[in-house]
Amino acid sequence: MNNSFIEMDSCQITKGGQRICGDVFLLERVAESGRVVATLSDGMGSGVKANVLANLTAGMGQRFALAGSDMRKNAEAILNTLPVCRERKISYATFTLADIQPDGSTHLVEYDNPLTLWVRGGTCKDPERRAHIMERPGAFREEVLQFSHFSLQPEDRLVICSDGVAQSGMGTKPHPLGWRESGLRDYVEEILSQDARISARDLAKKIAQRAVANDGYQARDDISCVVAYARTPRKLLVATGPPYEASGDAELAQSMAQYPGKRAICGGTTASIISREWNSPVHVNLDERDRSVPPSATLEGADLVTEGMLTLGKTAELLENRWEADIPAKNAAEKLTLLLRESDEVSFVVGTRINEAHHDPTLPFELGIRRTLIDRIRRALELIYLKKTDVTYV
Amino acid sequence: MRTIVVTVCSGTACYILGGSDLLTLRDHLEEPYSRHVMLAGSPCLNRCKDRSENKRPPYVTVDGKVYGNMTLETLVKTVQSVLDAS
Repeated sequence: MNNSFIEMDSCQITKGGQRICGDVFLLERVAESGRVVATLSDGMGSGVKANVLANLTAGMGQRFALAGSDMRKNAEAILNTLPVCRERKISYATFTLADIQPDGSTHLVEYDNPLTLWVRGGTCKDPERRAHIMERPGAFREEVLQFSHFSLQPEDRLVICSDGVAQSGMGTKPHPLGWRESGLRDYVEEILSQDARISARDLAKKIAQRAVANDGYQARDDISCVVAYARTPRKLLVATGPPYEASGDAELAQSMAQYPGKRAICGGTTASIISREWNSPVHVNLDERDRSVPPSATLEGADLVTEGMLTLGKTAELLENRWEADIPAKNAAEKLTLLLRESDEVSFVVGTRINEAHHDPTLPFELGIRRTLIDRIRRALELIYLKKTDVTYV
Repeated sequence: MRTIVVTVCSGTACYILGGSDLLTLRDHLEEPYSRHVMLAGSPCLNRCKDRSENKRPPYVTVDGKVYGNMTLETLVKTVQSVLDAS
């Protein structure tokens, strides 16, 4: 598999009455290689205690896997570190660890979580698993670790859940034994038959919400769903600021026109330049009324046109605060945030010509520097949302 | 009375110096003036960079003529006088 992007996202719903989730999901993308390592751990019980245990487990899983040591030894080390509950004689936290290389090569280690679904062509299948049995002193039964190694192809997905999903609805009339893995499988296949290109984020959200619905809209256990989706990367170009030399205008407009992906223009002057070069008028959306952010505009050939500094500043804030998308977006900064979040690779083209009016000391507040704002946005996109970004100054 | 176009700049400097208020022009115009105004926005009227004129943002064009230092009050008055004269 070449040039695929692994989109991975999760949705967690905390057990009713608890304020802290006892399932922990950790995700890391290695920037240089594009490798993705993720661990979902379910701590026994709920609340703080469960969270601490799950955090400990997921943290070890991540660190060992990223360090590149042998998966079996890693898993054994985790199990040997985990305390065994004195009363119940079982281990404190379960886990599923996925290590996905950019070429699709995937290693899974599963310990006591519901089995991971591997979805290809809208149908769930099982990877070939090898069980590794471990005896642990103090435990009432042998521990079974499941290892699998397979290759993700473009459009393949992985669905990883905590038992809060598989056991949701247990004891209710429609699901006396819980939703179970079979219910989850049918639901995933049903969603994919309706929307074959659903994002990892939306699929995880749908599954978690359905599990809560099974529980009667009050989760009876911590519910976590993680989805990995291998797909062709969605590219976005963000042009902001006019080029230093006016002679660069035509070049900027041309490279934007030829860009193979979505295009956003952030800046009044930039929009005027592109509009002039493309010979296409800009229309400001006057129905968008928001005091803090100027209205967005439309320009044929661009997916979004916004003002520059104020909108970018607000966007950086929304990204850093992990703003939960409230569709439809109310202002230009929310629109830009959504566009950035649904893209996998974002290229910024930053013009370095200074607008003196922005540095007028009589302005009511300081506008900041474009370059600093773009750095903030890039950092948030890379660290929080695991996007690939690059920047060119013109 | 003719119908005129009023274009309000919604670029950065104009917006923070009062352009956001100017976009509400419609709410402040009375009949018959409001029927004769077409309100439009512009991503940037490119006036803020021109230091030669002794004007400041926010900029507006009323019937093709550029005005700076606009407030809602002066904009309403300007629109009314342009329409009265037409």
